[in-house]
This record gives sequence, structure tokens and C-alpha cells, in this order.
Amino acid sequence: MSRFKPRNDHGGGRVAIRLQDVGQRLSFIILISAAVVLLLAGRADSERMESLRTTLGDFTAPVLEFSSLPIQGLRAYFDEIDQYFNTVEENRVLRAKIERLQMWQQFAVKLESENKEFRSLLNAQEIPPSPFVSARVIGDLGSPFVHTVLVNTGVNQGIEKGMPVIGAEGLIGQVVSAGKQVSRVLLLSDMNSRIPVRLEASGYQAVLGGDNEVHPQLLYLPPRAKALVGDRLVTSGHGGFFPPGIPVGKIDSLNNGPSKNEVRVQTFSDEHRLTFVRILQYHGQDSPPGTIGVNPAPAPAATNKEGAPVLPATPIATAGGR
Amino acid sequence: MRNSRSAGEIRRLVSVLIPTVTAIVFVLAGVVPAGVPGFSAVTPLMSVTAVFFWVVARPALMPPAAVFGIGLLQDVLSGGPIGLWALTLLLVQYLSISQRQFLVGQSFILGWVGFTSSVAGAALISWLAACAYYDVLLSPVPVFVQAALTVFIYPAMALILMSLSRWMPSAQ
Repeated sequence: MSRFKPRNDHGGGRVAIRLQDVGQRLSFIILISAAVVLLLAGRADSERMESLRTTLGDFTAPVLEFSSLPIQGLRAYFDEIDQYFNTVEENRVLRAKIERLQMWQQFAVKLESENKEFRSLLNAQEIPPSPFVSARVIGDLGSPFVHTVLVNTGVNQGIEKGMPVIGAEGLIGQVVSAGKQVSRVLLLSDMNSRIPVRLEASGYQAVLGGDNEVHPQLLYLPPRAKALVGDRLVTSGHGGFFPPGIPVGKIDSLNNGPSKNEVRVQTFSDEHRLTFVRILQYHGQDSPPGTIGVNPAPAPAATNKEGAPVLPATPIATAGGR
Repeated sequence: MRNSRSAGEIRRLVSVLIPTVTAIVFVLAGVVPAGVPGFSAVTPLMSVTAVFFWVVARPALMPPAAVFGIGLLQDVLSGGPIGLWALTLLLVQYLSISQRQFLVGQSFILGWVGFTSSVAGAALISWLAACAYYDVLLSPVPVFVQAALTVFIYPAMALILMSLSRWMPSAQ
């Protein structure tokens, strides 16, 4: 193949080379120190650094959005080709699915009316569904050290730090920083992510903790809780950051080794195939967890002024030195 | 006569911007959702490719300040610690400059070998810096997988950059 052509980029003379060398060495030293200073500043005052990033991120958002357009178009094009060839088969599958879902729908309607009846009998508190904002993912996981994505909505659309982000299948993560036009979503697999969850069937509480691996880990599961592979997990609402009952994932593997008792979780949403997400405009509740559906004693936070975010200053997920 | 001279002038001006612009495009390409399953898990370290190539081919057009800016852009977009890639790319540039005298005029294969060491250096530096920043022992696997992929796709990337480099007039 080709070779690197030697190009005489310097002024030509020896003196010029030396001068340029000195200048370059100096700018190297200055810039490397600047980078180190930025890193140290980020460690010392991560809040301020994060707001700087958010401001800068707002500037880069239009560029990112623009550059993601051709890829979006290409993807749609390939999807179309794919659909063209699979229409017949897909029709058959969809028909079968509709039949099955219709059955489920009847079942759900029946359960819903039953539920309503029971709730009124128990005088249980209704949990109003949170409004949500749809967003498009414009920035993928770009770093080997952090698992976050950028979405194209921000404060202007009513997004706040700490809001839960869900996809079609289930929880994806939460907003860690919100700019005017873009927000950054901390994914479940990130090492700073900690989500209070419970086993759907048994009700045992635990925390879903990321560690930058594909499958996040289930932490603080009580030893008496007999978790099995395939058990479903939903958010517990513990701590009041997330509404309870959002599907999260299912237990993927149990490793009862001699040194560690590891439970890994397969999340329902695929972090690598995110296109559109929903951000729940959930402002947090301080109602005691585990009492969902049973009329809770009026929690102190219930007396808070309407609209004022009851969210504590630092969400759990960002507690780890970011 | 005059027309062709001004055309040359424009070409020269555009050429000055090409290295930085391609590096920015490479950074964006690494961040934009690709829609290829599993691809986002191991996005290649595209910025390292651009910095290495231009530092060896056209060092004057890839000054440390530009490298710093490119690194900062990657930091802002990727969500990692700000300064991490700025530092990493500057050190890659330093490594590449020291390699330059051996690589200029050498075969493509040798350039590829040199690139491999630069990418390995970048992976190591960024991993160490990230570990120090977060104060935990992070798994080095993802970044080295990315590095391996970056080395693997280097010929294709270099081909693009080489054709641009050939179009650019040589500096006096």
C-alpha cells in the first residue's frame, strides 16, 4: 500500500525547527497541565463540572442531531428492505400475536375492574400515572468507562435531573444532567447506577447496581429471599425516586461461589438498541415503600407545596463521586 | 491564470482545516447511535486514529491545541470525566511525534504497527486516568477491546485520510 510521504512542514532551517520544537514542547506542557487541572477540578467539584458539560453539551446537540440524521435514514431504509422480504411471515406472526393479546386484553379488563372494586373496598390510594416526554437518543455509549446516552430533550421540555427513563420494554435509567435541549441518561449498567427494586413475585427488596458490565448486579438481596433464574424485577419505589412497578429485568444468573454471592440481572431494555425513550415526569414521593396500594399514613412530603420537586439534592445514582 | 491561483489558495486554506475537521467527524462518528447491534458497546477509538494519522502525515496541521480541543469535545460528548480524553490524546500525540521520524517514508505495515502501539498507549493511559478519577479498579477489558477494534479498522480509516492527504498541497 501507500507510504507516508515525507513532507517538509517545518520552516526549513534548523533554527526554525528548534524554535518550533520549543514552542510545541511548551504548549504540550501547558495543555497537558490544563487537562490534568480539568480532571482534578472534576473530582473536587463534580457538580460544577457537570453543569459546564451540560452547557457545552447544549452547543453540540444540534451537530449531533444533524449527524445522526443520515444514519437514521439509512437504518429506516434497511428496515424497509427487511420488511419487504418478510411481510408474509411477519403478517402470520402478528396475527397470532393479536389473537393472543386479545385474550390477554380481556383478561386485563376483567382484572382492572376487579382491582378497582378491591381498591374502593380497601379505600386504597390511587397512584396517578406520571406524564412523560418522549425523546430520541442522539448520543450513544461513547466511552468505555461510563454508560450513558444523550437524548434530545431537556429543561425546556420539562426534564429534570433524577427523572426515570423507560423504553418500550422497561426501565433504562435515569436523567443525570439536564441541559436546555439535551439530557444525559445514566444507564442501569453504569457503575454509578443504583436502583431500588423488588422481586415481583415474592416482594423482597434489593438494589440493582451497575458495574459497567453488561448485566447489572442485584445487591443487598436478603439471604432468605430465594431468587431463581427468570424471576422478574420491578422498581420498588423505595426512596421515592421512581414510581413503583416499572419493569426492570429478570434474573439472569446466580453464582453461589465460595467467595461471592452474585446475582446478575438481564434488563428488559437493550442498552445498545435505544432509539426512542420516555422520560417520566415523576417528581418523587416520600411515601413509605412497600405500602403501595394500602392507604399510607400521610407522609410528611405529601404536605409539600405542589409542583416543588421533592427530590433530594443528590439522587442515589450520582452519589459515587461523579 | 489568476483564477487557478485563487483556486490553489482556497485549496490551501481548506487543507489547513482538514485534519481538525476529520478528527471532529471521527469523534462524532464514535458517539452517534449506529444502530448496529452490539456496535455501541465497542465503538472504536476513532479520535486516536485521526490524531495519529495527522501527527505523522502533517504534524504542523495538528497542533497540540487542536488535539486538546478534540479531546475535550470527546469528553463532553461521551459523558466521561472532562479532561480524560484531552489528556489521553495529547499523550498519544507526544508518543506519535516521537515515532514519526521512524515512520515517515516507511511502509504502510510499519505505520500500522506504530499505530498499534499508539492505540495501546491511549487505552492504557485512559484506563489508568479513569481508575484514578473514579478511585476504583475499572475493568480494562472494554477499552482494550475498543483498542483492538480500532487497530483492526485502521487500514480503512487510513485510506480515507490518505486520499485527503494526497489532495492537500504540500506545505512549503
